[in-house]
Order: sequence, then C-alpha cells, then structure tokens
Amino acid sequence: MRRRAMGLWTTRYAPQSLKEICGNKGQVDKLQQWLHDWSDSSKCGFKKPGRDAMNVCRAVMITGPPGIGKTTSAHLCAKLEGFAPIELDASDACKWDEHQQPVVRWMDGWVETMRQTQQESESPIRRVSSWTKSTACPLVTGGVGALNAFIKTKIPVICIANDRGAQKLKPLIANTFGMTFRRPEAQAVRSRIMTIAYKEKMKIPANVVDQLISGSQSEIRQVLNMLSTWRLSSSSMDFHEAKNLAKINEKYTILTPFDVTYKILGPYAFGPNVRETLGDKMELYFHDHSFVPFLIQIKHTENYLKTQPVKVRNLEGLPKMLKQLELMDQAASSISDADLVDALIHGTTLVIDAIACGVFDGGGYGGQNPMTFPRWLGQNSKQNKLSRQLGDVQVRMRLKVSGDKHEIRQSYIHALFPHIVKPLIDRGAAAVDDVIERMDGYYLSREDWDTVVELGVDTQKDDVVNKLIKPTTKTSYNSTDHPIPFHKARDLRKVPKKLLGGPAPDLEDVFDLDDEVVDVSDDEKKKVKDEDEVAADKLFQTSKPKTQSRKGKTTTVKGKKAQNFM
Amino acid sequence: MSLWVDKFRPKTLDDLHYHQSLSIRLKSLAASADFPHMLFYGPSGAGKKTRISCTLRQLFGSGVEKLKIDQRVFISPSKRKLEINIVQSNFHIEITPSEAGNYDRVVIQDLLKEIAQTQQVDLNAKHRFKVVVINEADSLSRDAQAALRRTMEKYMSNMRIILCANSTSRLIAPIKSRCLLMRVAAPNPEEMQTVLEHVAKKLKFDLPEEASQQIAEDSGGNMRKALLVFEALKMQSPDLSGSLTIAKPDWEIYCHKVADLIVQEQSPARVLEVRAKLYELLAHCIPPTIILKTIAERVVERVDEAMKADVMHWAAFYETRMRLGNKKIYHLEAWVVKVMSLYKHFMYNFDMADFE
Repeated sequence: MRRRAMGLWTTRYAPQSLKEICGNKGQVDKLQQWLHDWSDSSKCGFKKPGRDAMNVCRAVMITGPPGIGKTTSAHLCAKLEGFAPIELDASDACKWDEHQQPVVRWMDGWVETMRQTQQESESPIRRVSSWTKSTACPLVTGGVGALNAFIKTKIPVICIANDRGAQKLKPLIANTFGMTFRRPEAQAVRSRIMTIAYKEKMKIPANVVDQLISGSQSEIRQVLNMLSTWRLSSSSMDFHEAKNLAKINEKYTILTPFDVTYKILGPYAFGPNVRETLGDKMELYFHDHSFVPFLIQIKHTENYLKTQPVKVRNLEGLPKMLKQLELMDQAASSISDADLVDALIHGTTLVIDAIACGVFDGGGYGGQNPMTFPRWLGQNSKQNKLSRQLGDVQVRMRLKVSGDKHEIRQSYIHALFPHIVKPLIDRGAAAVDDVIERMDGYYLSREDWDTVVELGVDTQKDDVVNKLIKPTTKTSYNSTDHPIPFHKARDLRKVPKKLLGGPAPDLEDVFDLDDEVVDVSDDEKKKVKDEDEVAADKLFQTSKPKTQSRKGKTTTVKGKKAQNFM
Repeated sequence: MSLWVDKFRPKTLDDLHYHQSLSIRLKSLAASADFPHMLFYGPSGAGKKTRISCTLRQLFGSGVEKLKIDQRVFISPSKRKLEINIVQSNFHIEITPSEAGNYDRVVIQDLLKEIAQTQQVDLNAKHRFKVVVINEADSLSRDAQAALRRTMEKYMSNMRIILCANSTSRLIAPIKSRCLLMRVAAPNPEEMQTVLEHVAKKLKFDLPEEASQQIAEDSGGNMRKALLVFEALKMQSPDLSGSLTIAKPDWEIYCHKVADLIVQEQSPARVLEVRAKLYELLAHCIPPTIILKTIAERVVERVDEAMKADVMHWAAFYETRMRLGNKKIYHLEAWVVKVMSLYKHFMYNFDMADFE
C-alpha cells in the first residue's frame, strides 16, 4: 500500500476489481470468461464456442480510443484468472528497424523464451498471457505474420490496438475475436473521479468534473493526470479553471475527415446557441486540409436536396413548390460558386461552403441525414478507370483511326457496336469469326471488347448487353492468333524513367519568362554583332534563382510602367 | 477490315476533297525550305488530322505512313507510374500530352529534348528536321504551354511542332504567335455530299441524292460522323431509298431522356434522378460540355418560345463555369435546377394568366 501511495495517481487508483472499471462492463466480463475457459478450450482444440461464442478463438483483439481502460481491464482479468501478464509493445520493434526481418526474429526469440518459461513453470495455472500493443506505430506486415504464428502457441494472447480498421491489422482480425471498447459515459467516469478527488482531499463540484471529462473526451487517464498536477498547487477548482485546464491539455489528435465533416454538418452546427466560434470551426478544417473541404463540398451537394428548407415550412401547395425550387436554385449556384473559388484558391472553400450552408438551411439541417459515403468519389474513380481503359482502346486503334479519345467514345463505339457486339447477340457463336476479323482490323483485344461494352449507357449498358451474350462465345477469342499494334511497356519490363519534377513555375515565374522572351525578340534586330551577349545570356541562365527573381521584380515594375504609359 | 471512314481516308494533299486553297498553301509550305511550326484548329471531324498526315507525307514521302507505337513509362515525383503512348515514324512523332495529366510539362520537356538532341540519321531524308505532332493541344496545362515556348525557339533547327486543337481559346498568346495558324473549318453540306458520293463511287453503288443530303444535315459538319452514319445506314437498308432513320448513339438518346425528365417534372426528387443519370454519363467518358450541349438543345426544342433564350443563356453561363471549376457535376446540376426553377415559374405565371 505504501509503495502504491508513491506512484502516479493513475497507478495508485488503478482499478483493483472489475467493479472499479468504468464502462465497457459487458466486454470486460466476456474477456474474463474467455480467459477463464481458455485452458479448457485449448484442450478440446478450440472447438466449443461457449456462451459468448468466444472460445473458438485463441486470441482476442481489443480496440478502442486511448485512455479508456483497455490495458487495465486486460491486466485485471488476467490477474483475476491467475495468469501472469507479459506486456509487449510492437512499436518498440518498429523503432529498431524498418525492415521486417528483425521484427520477425524478435518475435521468434520471444516465442522461444515463452516456450522455455512454459516448460519451467510446470503448474498449468501459472500460464503467461502476453500483450501486443500495436498503437500509433503500426506493425510491419512481417510482424503481424509473426504475431499470427505466435497466437498458435499455448499462450492466450490479447492484442490491443487503437484503430481496428487499419489495413495492417487485417491478417490479425481473421484470427482473433474482435472486441471494441467505447468511451465510457461521463456519469460513469464522474463518480469514479469524484471518489478519487475526495480521497485526495480535493473539493471539486460535479459540473467541474464534467467539464474536465468532456474536455479530455472521456479519457480517464488524462483527467487523473490533470488533477494530480493541479493538486500540487491547489485543492479546489472552479468551472473556469477546469475549462482552461482542459483547454491547455487538449490533445491535438487528428480527426478523420469523416469525423470533421460530422462535426461541421452535425446537428445545430449553425444553431443560435453554439459555443464554438467560427474560428473554431475553421480550425477543424486543418485536420485534413486537402480532403475535408472536398468532402464537405460533396456532402452538401449530395444532401441539400434531401432537406426541407425552413423558409418553405409555412407555405403550402404551389407557392411552396416555387419557393423551394427558387431556394434550390440559390443553393446549387452557391455550390457552383464554391467550386470556382476552390479552383482558384484551394482552401477557402470550407469557410464559404460552411457559410453557404448556414445561409441556406438556417439551422434546419438537423442532422437527420445519415452520413453516407459520398457518391462522388465512387463515380470519379469509375470515370478515371473507364477513361484509362478508353485511352488504351484509342491507342490500339490509333494506327487506323485519327480521332482522339472523345471521338472514339462518341462516334466509333456507336459505329462499332453493330459490327462487334450486335452479331454476338443476334447470331451467337456463328458470328464469332466475323467479329474477330473486325476487331483484328482495329487491333482490338478481348479486354478492349469488354471496355467497348462497359462504356455503353442506356440500352447498351454493359449488364444489359452481357446478359444477352452467352459466355462461351466470348472465350473463343483466345484460341486464335491476333495482331498486336505494340507491346505494353509493362510486358517488356521497361525501366521507368524518373521525372525531375521541380516545383512548377508559379504565376510570377511565368510572367518573368514572358518578359524575358519579349526582351529577346526586341533585341533580335541587333543580334548580329554581339556574341558576348549570348555568353552573358548563358551566364544569366545558370545564375542563381535569387538574381532571377530580382530581375523579375524589376521587369514587373517595367511592365506596370509600360501599362501606365499606354 | 476497317470501317469506310478509315479505309477511304485521303493519303495525299491532292486527294482531299474540300478546302482546296488550304491544300495548295500546305503544298507550297511543304515545298519551301522554311517549314514553320503550325497550329491546326477546327471542330472535330473537320479533317485536321487528315491534313496533318497529308502534309507530313508531302514533306517526307510515304515513309511517314510506317507507324509504330511505343510506350514510355515515367515515374512522377509522387511515385506514380505514367504510361505515355507515342506514335512515331522515322520522320515524325506524335504525342498526346493529356495522358500525362498534371505532369504534362515535365513529360513533354523530356520527350522534346530527346528528339531535339538527336539529328536525322537517314541521309535520304528530304528534311533535316523531325516533326512533333501534339494532339489535344488545348488540354495542355498553362505550365506546359509556358515551357513549350522556349523549346519551340531553341530547337528550331532540329524540330518542327504541329499542334492540333479544337479551339485556340485555351492556348496562350505566345504559343499562337509562334505558329502558323491553320484553320480547318467544318465542311459545308455540299462538300460533305461530294465526299459521300466519292465513297459510294469507290464502293461501286448508287447513293440517292436525298440520302446523302439527310446524312450531311444530320452530322452537323462532322465528316467522321457522316461517314460512320453512312456505313451504318448502308448496313440497315442496302439500297438507301425511302425514308431513312438515322440511329442516334447511345449517349445521345440518354441525354435526350435526361432532357425529357427535366421538362416533365420539377421537384427535388427529380433533380436527384437527373443527377444519377448525369453521373452515369460522366462516368462513361462523355465530356461534360457535350452533355450540357446535347441536353440544352433538346430542352430548347421542347419548351415554350419565350423560354428558349433563357435556357441557352444559362447553359452558356454554366458551361464557362464548368471549364473554370473542378467538379463538373455541380455546374451541370446547378444548370438543371436553374432550368427547372425557370420552367416552373414560367408555367405558374402562364397558368395564372389563364385563370384570370
């Protein structure tokens, strides 16, 4: 007890029993039960699912935001079930080397030691349970593989991670039982914090504690740390102090673009009683400055039609219809404006968008619309894909055809349709030879045929067409030889050439060059005599950008003067 | 076995059927020792590419017809692989910079430098220079255009550039001033008819006057489209007599459907429906300008006289915005909503006047 009194508050008041853990009660119980049954399930080869269907898994993966008691509950459950926990941090391994090899070796070493320990400790109860924490620093793929192998041993493994969706955890998810921990509710945390404050002889009212909790987003660890530092100077705290303290200790976590979007477009983001200032909202934008404005823009565009503007609520019948159309028109054109602004100055869109939204809905947005994944992204990637495929088709046809991509799409596909697709629908396998002859004439391959079909819309839509053609007729293409216009670089294993993409010339640079060229053309008349000037010109080209920019400035001044004269 | 439009493409300047004065000029330019940089511009299907290849043939002989395609791979600074297709003969090279996307400047610089620094090896070649044909020049980024200016002057001794574009409006003035501008206008219906008759004669069948007239009118000055339609019609009805129905391309029919949707009903739900269709068209590689144009023309056909001007005005308005902006769908939709609103208001006023 005395030793505990010396430690940090977080260790001093670490939960000693399951009762003291805040929130996630059900999950913790499940975890304990699983550990309890582990040796039995191991004996029967993990065949019996048990009450929670957890006993078929050799390992559990706990995911959730930081500071909500994942590690604590894992430790506690292990101790209660008689395991000696060993904690392993995957990020330690990553620090050593970025290559996979050492990580795997490191893991192997671990497994070895584990086996030894296991042999030494004869009693079956004193097993070891190991933690692998793959937090911010993700496991290297090899590491996950090694961990997967490790899971197969006779040790229960609890993996702890923050982000379940992380790509690198994919292989683990298949082998483990997923368990998500949520942030506990403010009330659950409040009582615990109040108890601790009381024990530490601090006088803190409930609303102040609430402020601290909401400020740290229910992160118990952080609240305790804040309180312990505060305790050094004072034993009471009022509301404003709490607010400031929370503000100071605010973690600058990077929100995902979707979270940000939700915050901005969420319920009453522009209502009359919002505490966040416009500045705060603009700050949200910097969480992901390239994607957020974009996402918001898409969200607006896709959602504005589904909401009912406040202004038409009192109207009925035809006037309502007209008014609504009018408002829709305004919204649509303001979105169009926003896109133009975006094209000019990337970044201010958010403000304009957000304000445009506020003006339009007047707080009636209500957040009833579920946040769906924007369609624009899907459509855009489809467009890119098809456009690339169309490019391939165009290049193959190029030896015979003069048109560009768009011409191929707009005229040729329509013209080729009766020759290469229609016969297959009408005559089936009998038409294959004709079709192939036609395709060879334009060097089209089997994939290009697919592209031609895929590009169709309306009655020539790909699924409509593909339904009409028997799949067997399509396979006969590969049985004969076909001319090829060229080999793809990919097939020839060409080594790609690196582009020395220096920073693109900005507008000032362009202006600079412009002037330079004008100068040269002016000088053209007296070009004959001065070869020295050419040398000077060369020198000028090799000179540092600094001088260039200076020159640029002088020329701009000149340019202005010239304008004035005119 | 290729389509007629490719089979009967004129190969020499003498074979060309229309724009005779242009052909004569091109011929004399090719004969002179001082061949300039050139910029061919005009609507699609007018014969720009055909004229370019004829000119090249005039310059270098039949050797330019031996084409080969070479694919180059570049790695952009952001580690993306760019595959650039180059069509070339011994005397010329043809590139489409829009394949390089944002990196067109660096790709073009790299390619042009390479060509400019190699001399013509073929001693029998008529000219010392090579020709670089740049397709879709109006899609060149500003950076790339700015970079091109210097190259055009610097490597004049080894290289000539022929740009091919639909309109000169997107090209910066310095580029235009360095080129000899060659406008290839769309052929008029009579000129198109002569071409169609020529094709019919080659294939040894009779083309009725009405049929050729109808095709020429339908294709709106696009020779390529005319010939493709011609072939399709010939397949449909071999004697080409009686009333001919020219089948519209799939996307055009689809655009018309969208236009009908707009005129039939004006409501938020309908806008959503239209948006889904617009997405579909865009995703299937129909350029937004074409979509807007086709739909607007159809809407104009179907609305009242008094509204026609407004519809077109707003179409033009949003077309400009579309070019300036990034996401085309927003402007398309804004136009759709605008037209709906206009239409509804118009109908509403009309109704009221009727009731009173």
